[in-house]
Amino acid sequence: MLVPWFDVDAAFAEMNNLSKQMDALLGNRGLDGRHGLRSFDLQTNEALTETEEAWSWSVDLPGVRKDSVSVTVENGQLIVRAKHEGNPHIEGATPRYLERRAYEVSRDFALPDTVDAEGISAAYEHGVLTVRLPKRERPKPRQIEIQVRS
Amino acid sequence: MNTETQQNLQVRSDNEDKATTRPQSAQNVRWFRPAVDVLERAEGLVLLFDLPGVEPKQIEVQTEESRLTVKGVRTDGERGWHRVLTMPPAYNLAGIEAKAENGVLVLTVPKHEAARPRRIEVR
Repeated sequence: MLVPWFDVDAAFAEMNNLSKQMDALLGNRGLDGRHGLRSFDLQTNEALTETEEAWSWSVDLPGVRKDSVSVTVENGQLIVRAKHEGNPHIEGATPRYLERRAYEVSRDFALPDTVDAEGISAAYEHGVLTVRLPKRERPKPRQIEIQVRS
Repeated sequence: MNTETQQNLQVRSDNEDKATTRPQSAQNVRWFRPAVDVLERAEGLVLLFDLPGVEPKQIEVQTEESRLTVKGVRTDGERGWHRVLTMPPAYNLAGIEAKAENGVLVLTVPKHEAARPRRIEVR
C-alpha cells in the first residue's frame, strides 16, 4: 500500500515552518543550544524561580541519563553540560514518525556575588535538572585605606 | 484527505481539538504538547513521549475507542503535558504497556493478532 503511513497535517507544517524561522533567527541553534526548536513550548524548557533563601534554575532534559549530566562551579561560573545519547536501540523497530532527537545542553552562568557558590546543589529527577543557588548577603563595600608614602 | 489516509495513525496538534480534549479537571494547569516518536515493530508500535518533570505514577494513559490520550501534571503543579493520538484500527489499545524513565514515557501498543504478519508454511 502506497498510502503515506502518517498524515502530517497542516498544523505540523506550520510548526516546521516556525521551526525553520527560529533556526534562521538563531543561526541554526535553538535557544536551548539544541539544533532548532525541539520543544514547541520554549517556556517549559527552562525555569528560574526565586524564594527568599535561594534561586532555583531548572532545565528539562528528557531522555538524558544522570551520568550524562554535569554541574560544575569554577572561577565564579556555573557550568552545566548535558548530553542526550539518543534512544536506546529497540530491536526490529522502524522509525515512522520522529519529533524527538538527540541533543546537547551547554550553559555557562557568571555567578553574582549574591549567590553562595559553596552552597550550590543540584538534583536530577524525572528528566529535569534543578540547580539550587542559595543567596547570601552582598559583601559590604570595604574601604581601602590609601597609604601615603613620603 | 481520503478515507484511507484518515484511518492511518494521525499525530495531531492539540490546537485542532482543544475544546474537546483539554483536561478540565486540573485547575490552573498550563498544558503543553509533548514531543513523540513512533516506531513500528512486527508486534506493534513503540511510542516515546517526552514528559519531563512528571512523576511516573502521575502519568495517565487513557484509551477510548481509537483515541490514545497521554497526560501528566508536572511536580510543580502548574504545567502539564497532554497529547492525543488517533490510532489505526490494527492496534489493540487494551494491550498497551507503559514504563517511564528519565522523563520519557515508553508505550508498547500491540497489534491485534489478526493484523500481525504471519508466515504461512508451504507444504
